[in-house]
Amino acid sequence: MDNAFLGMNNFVWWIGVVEDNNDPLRIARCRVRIFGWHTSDKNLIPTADLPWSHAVLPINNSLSFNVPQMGDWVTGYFFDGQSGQFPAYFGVLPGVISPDTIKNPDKGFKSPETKGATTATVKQEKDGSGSTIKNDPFVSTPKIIGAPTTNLEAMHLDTAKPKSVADKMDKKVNDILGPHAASTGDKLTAAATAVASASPPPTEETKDGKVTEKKKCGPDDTSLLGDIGKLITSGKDLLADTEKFINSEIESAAASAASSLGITSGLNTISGAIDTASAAVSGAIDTATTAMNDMKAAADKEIAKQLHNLELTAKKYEKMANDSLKKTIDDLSLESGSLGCYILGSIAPSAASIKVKQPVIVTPATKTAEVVIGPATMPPTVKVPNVIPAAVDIDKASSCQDMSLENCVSIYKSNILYIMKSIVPAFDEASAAYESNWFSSGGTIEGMSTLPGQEKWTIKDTVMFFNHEWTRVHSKIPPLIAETFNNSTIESELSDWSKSYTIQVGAAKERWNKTIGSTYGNLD
Amino acid sequence: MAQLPTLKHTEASDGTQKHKDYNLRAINLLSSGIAGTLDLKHMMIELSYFEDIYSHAISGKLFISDALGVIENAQLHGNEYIRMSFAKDSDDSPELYIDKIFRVYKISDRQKMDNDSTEGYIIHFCSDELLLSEQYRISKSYPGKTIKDIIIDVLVNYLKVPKDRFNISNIQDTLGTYSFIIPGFKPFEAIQWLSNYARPADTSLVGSDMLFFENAKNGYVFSSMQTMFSKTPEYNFKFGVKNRPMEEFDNMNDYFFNVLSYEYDKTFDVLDGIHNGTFANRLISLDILQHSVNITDYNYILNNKKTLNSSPVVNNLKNRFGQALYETPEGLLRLSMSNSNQSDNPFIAARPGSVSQDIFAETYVTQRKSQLAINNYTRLKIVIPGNPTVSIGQTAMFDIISNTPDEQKENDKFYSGKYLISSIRHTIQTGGYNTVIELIKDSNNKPYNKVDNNSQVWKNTVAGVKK
Repeated sequence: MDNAFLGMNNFVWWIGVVEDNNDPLRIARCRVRIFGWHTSDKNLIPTADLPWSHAVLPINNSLSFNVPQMGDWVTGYFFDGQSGQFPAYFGVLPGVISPDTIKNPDKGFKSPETKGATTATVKQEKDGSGSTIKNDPFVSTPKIIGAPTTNLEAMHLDTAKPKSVADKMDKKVNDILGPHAASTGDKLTAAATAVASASPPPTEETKDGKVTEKKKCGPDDTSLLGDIGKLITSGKDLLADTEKFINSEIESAAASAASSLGITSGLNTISGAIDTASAAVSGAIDTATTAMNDMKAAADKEIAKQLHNLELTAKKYEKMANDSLKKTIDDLSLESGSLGCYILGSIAPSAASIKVKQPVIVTPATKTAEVVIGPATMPPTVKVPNVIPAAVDIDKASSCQDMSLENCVSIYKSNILYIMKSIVPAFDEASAAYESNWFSSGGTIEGMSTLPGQEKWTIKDTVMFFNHEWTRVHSKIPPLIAETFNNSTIESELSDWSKSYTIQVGAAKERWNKTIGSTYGNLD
Repeated sequence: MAQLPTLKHTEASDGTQKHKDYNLRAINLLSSGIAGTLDLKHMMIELSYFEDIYSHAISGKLFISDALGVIENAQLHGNEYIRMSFAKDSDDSPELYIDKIFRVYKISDRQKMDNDSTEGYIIHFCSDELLLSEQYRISKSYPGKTIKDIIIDVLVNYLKVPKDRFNISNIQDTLGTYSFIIPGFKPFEAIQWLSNYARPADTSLVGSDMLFFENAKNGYVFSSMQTMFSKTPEYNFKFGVKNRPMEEFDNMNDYFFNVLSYEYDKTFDVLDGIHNGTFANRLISLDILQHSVNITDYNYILNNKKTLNSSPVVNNLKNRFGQALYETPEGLLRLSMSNSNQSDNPFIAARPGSVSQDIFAETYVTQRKSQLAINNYTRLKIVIPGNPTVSIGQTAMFDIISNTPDEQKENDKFYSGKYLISSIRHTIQTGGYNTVIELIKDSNNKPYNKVDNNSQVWKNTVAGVKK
């Protein structure tokens, strides 16, 4: 035998620092910079040039292994002895990290980002003995300046994080459903039940007075949570079946032993049965564990999905609420007095100039008001009587008893439409476009009519006429809207709206061209 | 080179050159204790200069008879240098001189001589690179480099060998690229370690037989032994009738290369050859990544390495198991790591960077073990009149007269032939200059007769049956 015989070529063991634990083959190999064998100078030996150290795994758990972390100190040996080309590592050396440690990515014996680094020359002390003490791994062990500090992170005892999948799942369930339920399964079941009977999302008022949707599981979560519940039930069933199987195996073994003629063979049979049962128990436990892990993983995943869906739903409802409010405000631009006429946002088809930008008050003295709603050069006029024409049958106006905001708005619009048609018979001619555009554009009236001897004209946005007689119509508006009308905010917004009138022009022009421009000619 | 005073030694008073003549131009000592240098040649009793293909550096000894108190006055303590220059004759051209600077590293055998005023001691010296090599370590990776490249880097960057001692052409090309990390070895140690893996790039040269050494002629050399074997013999050493007068030689070359004496250090040793895997050996190589095992058997006869002579050193005798010496590889069993052909594994190949390197264990471990042993299978020392041109790594013919009682003296059939000069020792004494040469060979001029393994006599004898 000679030195070229493995095992007889001197056992060379070493200590080193993990610099790369990302083994492309995923067999737990690490690149380790070994003290005394590899320089700390990464220019001479880059991390990528270090040989892969083979992992020597424990015999009782060789299929499940976590690779050391970057910067971990490990110990191992060379398969090829002093040639030092084939390292293997078999253990991690936990430590207490020196506060004197500094980071220097150009130096070896540390990972690029951590902690475990104990390298680089940081201090030199001359004690007169002729020796120079350096905190260099080639020369001496780094000195610990001051009291050592136990670094839990360095020892991988991250207490802030959940320790298991189950803990993580519990945490998430608690986050969603609150900590009241007794167990995760109970919480999920309760959640599923709650979802099944859920009505539209309730709202709650936050500290700043905003109305927000209260978080809860949405309709799509029902089946999901149901599935999780099934998984849990399935796991319980599996455990029960396993228990039954084990019992039957033991009974079978006992029966077999009892029927045996000899004690020895009986004992052997019992022994075999116990072995079989043990194996079955072990297998069942493994299966159950795997199933539970799968369930937990599925729950984890689905809960994350639910959270995501909830966020989306919340955003959706928030947007809907905002849009609805805005729409209400847009639609219900109305009077605040019993007599008067607000012309809100009336524009001409080719709005080169707009004469009317402010509300024109129609007083009982004047009886009429000239409202410019056409091109400035040739304004069509509508003489608005301050009494309801006989053609208008007030009683035919719809009434709205439903407190729903949308219904109120709808009814109110139909009433206005009804009145408009009563005033301007030609309105019927464009009623289809009028109605479709009103409702499709969220409250904008874009109708067309041809008055006798006049050019085409357009009524854009809401033109409402009120006087003391018409309050009868108004009175049919439910209290909710009436309150909205009286809201000072609306007044303010109306004012603001009129200031941004030019924007409305542009928007109206665009809508015109998109909707009925092809029929009646596009606006410039 | 500056003109140095010479110490010329002649045996004859008529001025004719004799075979033990020498021209010792200088043995200059450079020391912190003296101004300038001190020439020691007049205090010299014996100078011994040593080269060896199995040593990394030249070394030597100087036996001094000192009546001047040099050790004290020159303050010798190991930080001195000696420059020595000698040749056969003062008229020799510079290239025929051995002229080299050495580092003094030790004094030994210091004692009083015959009278109280004289002290004798030995100054040991060696090439300066040997000390430098002991002072530094190399920890460096060489990804994708040939061994030749690595050795050149070591010589240039870690030893800073002067140009006159290092010529890249003397570093032979090697086969294959490696990704070695030299793990903190000293420079010469690293080169020695690399030599174990090195295979000549010339594919007509098989196996792994590369050596690193220093000689006076070329400086540092890294060469395959087969390459050395292929060289034309530069000398023809003969051992004839002893002490023949010069007049009996046909020419002066024969006279100067007349072997004064010879001694076989080693003729054959089959037991040692079996034990050391000279004729056969086996390697079991393990690939721990792929969980594969390779078994490589080496057979001396089937190996096609270049040899000095044409015939093997053993015949075909088979043992009682029917196997010849070269057919029993278990005589030397070795076990090593391997990673050959890992890159052929598709899973591994698809993951770049997952394999460190291939060290080709199967291609060198068995062969190197046998080749180095067989190359040294026959070894002898001869003494010739001093000749500084003789250098290690050269080949020479050595003719030894047969010792048979025949009247017609012929050369020995098996021990005459081509040899490799493996080491030399130049010894200059006040009495003259000799060169001791060590010669080795791996083969014979003529084959041994074959054995009829099927004959009853041989069968019975091999089986231990007495009839």
